[in-house]
Amino acid sequence: MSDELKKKRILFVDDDPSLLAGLQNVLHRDRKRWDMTFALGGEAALEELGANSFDVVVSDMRMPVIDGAAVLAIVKRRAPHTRRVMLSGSDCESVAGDVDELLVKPCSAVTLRATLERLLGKPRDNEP
Amino acid sequence: MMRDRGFVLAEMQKRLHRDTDQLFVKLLVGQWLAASVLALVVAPALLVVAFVGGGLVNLVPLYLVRTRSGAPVTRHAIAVVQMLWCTMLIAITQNRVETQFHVFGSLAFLAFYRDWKVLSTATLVRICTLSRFAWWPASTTGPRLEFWQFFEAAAWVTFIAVTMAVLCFRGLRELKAAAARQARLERTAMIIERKVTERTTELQESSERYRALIENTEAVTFEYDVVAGRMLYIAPQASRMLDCTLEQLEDHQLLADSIYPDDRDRVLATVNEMVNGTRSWSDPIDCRLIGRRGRIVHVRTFLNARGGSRRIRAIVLDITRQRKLESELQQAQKLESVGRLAAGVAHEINTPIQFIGDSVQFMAQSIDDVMMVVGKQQVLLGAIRAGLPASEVAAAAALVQQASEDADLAYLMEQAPKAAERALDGVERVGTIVRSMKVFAHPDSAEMEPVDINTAVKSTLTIARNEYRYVANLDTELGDVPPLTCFVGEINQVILNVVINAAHAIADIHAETGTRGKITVKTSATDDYVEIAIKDTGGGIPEHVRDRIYDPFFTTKDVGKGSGQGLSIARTVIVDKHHGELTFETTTGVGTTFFIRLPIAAGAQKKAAA
Repeated sequence: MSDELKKKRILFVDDDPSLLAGLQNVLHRDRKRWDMTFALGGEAALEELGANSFDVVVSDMRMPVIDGAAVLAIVKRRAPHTRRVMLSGSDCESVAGDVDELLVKPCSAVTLRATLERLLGKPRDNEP
Repeated sequence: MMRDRGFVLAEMQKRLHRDTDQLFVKLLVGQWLAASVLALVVAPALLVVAFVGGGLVNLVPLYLVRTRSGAPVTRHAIAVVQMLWCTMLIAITQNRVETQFHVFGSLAFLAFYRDWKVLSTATLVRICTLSRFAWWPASTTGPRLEFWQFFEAAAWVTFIAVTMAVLCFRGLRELKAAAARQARLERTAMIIERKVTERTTELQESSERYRALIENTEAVTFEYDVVAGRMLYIAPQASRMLDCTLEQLEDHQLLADSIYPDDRDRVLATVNEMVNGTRSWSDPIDCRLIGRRGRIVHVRTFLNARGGSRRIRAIVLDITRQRKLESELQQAQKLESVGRLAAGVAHEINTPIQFIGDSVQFMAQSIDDVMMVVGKQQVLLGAIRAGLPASEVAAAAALVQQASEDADLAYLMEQAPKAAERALDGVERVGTIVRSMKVFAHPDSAEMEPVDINTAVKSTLTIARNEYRYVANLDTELGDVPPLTCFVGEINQVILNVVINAAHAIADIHAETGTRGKITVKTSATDDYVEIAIKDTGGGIPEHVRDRIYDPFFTTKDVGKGSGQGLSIARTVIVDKHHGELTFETTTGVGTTFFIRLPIAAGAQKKAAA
């Protein structure tokens, strides 16, 4: 149980189910160290954020209704300690609000994993 | 030269004097002959006097008439000599009373001069000759006159002379009036003549001016008689437009024959409709002309029927350069929209690339994991085949079990096929976008070609997807539409421009209220045309800009969001190039629907033939 408690919680947000499924597949081997949640669109993300707390939120930028910038802005307000990553469709988009990392699609699993490890490895309120 | 009344009078009098001079020439000669014959018969003693003396005396006036006809001295000389003839004849007839009347006749004749002075001279001469009878009878052949007889005779002569003089004055007055009339008439005639000359000159000048105007511009004017099929006039610069000689321009059908074959039926049908009154003359006709050397010229023709319905007058403008600029502008606008779409298209492509990469990566990992499990299984299989002890087999089996769990084999077996499917699906999505880009950016060919409008609509909506998907849902109702002969690249551009406008209209509402809109794209066909209707639930077009939306560079969008050429080019493409219609219905607060109607080639030809 202590192992479960130590697991980092990551929320992935995108409006494309295929993209989420791909991420889930490729990060499946990290299931033992990370507890990953996948939210389809900004509204689902807000529901998840209301129910749980996360160490990192990775969000797409352009989404219908509530876009990535709005989601990450809410994250920043509600949970200032949560790391925020924008996974943007194109690098020419201006990103509203500040984020810890800006990743541009297509982004390889290696890069994504390394980014997450770096963000999660930074000591904040947990152990080395 | 203008002649005044006095001049005309002098002219008339001179003519009168000369005519009268001539009359007296005959009279004088006649009297000379008559007097000579009379003298021979009744008074031979006077023959020499009559014949020689009379002849000599006659010479003076005859000479003057010859040299100075019409001059006062001439008529005065005539008056003197005429009076002398009276005396001569009276003498020859031995003073017969009847012969005295000759004096009065002579005075009457002299009155023809209408000159009282001549009458005075004659009277004076007569009184002088009479006076001989009173004071010097020896010099006469007649009886001596008593004083009272002399005075009576002189008084009669004077009386007749005065009467004649009165007549002269009257005649002169009439002459003056006639001269005034004549002068006025001549002046009027001269004024009229001068005016006619002026007007003629003006007319020639204005005609020259118009000719210069017409023939020194690039525009070609012509006048054509529809009924007779005759070209009444065609400006000579048409020879430059059609690369032909001036002689060839005389061919009445040259212009009609020069219409580019693809355009001919449409142009002739349009002209027929105008002549029949079913179409307004104010519509310009755009078409291509093909010159004698195969050069193609784009022209815009304005017709009018001011010359009556059988005579067409027209002005033909060469708009080839304008067409070229329009085409360049259109290309630029296309690049502009492609540039604006680039970000969206990149997003559209990058998302599938992302999950294709992830899925393939997952499959590669899965293969490694499965290999690991398979390796352990082969060890287990080898142990069983080798008949190793149960404990070792169990240990090998435990390793297989462990590897399977490490790999989460159940998950792999469930997910791997899905990942493969997803990767393929992603490849298809990227392919669709790339194909759509290719269809959209279709190189503009010079000729129209038959295309499926639904494919064009789908492609364009695919690449425009990123423009609307965040603010609006798309609804397509693609009907059964026949292949349409058109410039597909241009039609795609029009659809894109209208769809982007729709997306922007909805985005404005979305920004304010947060509600998602809807874009409905519908295709349908009638016998004559294919219609593409693009409907949005945006705010509608404000009333005060409705008249201007097709103006080039007119835009209500923010700087950077639109250059104001989208609808201007859409109109050029649909109306000018495809001879279709571009209309819209808009309700403020409800939305706008644009209708693109393109004539079906076969239908248009049928219509033209009818």
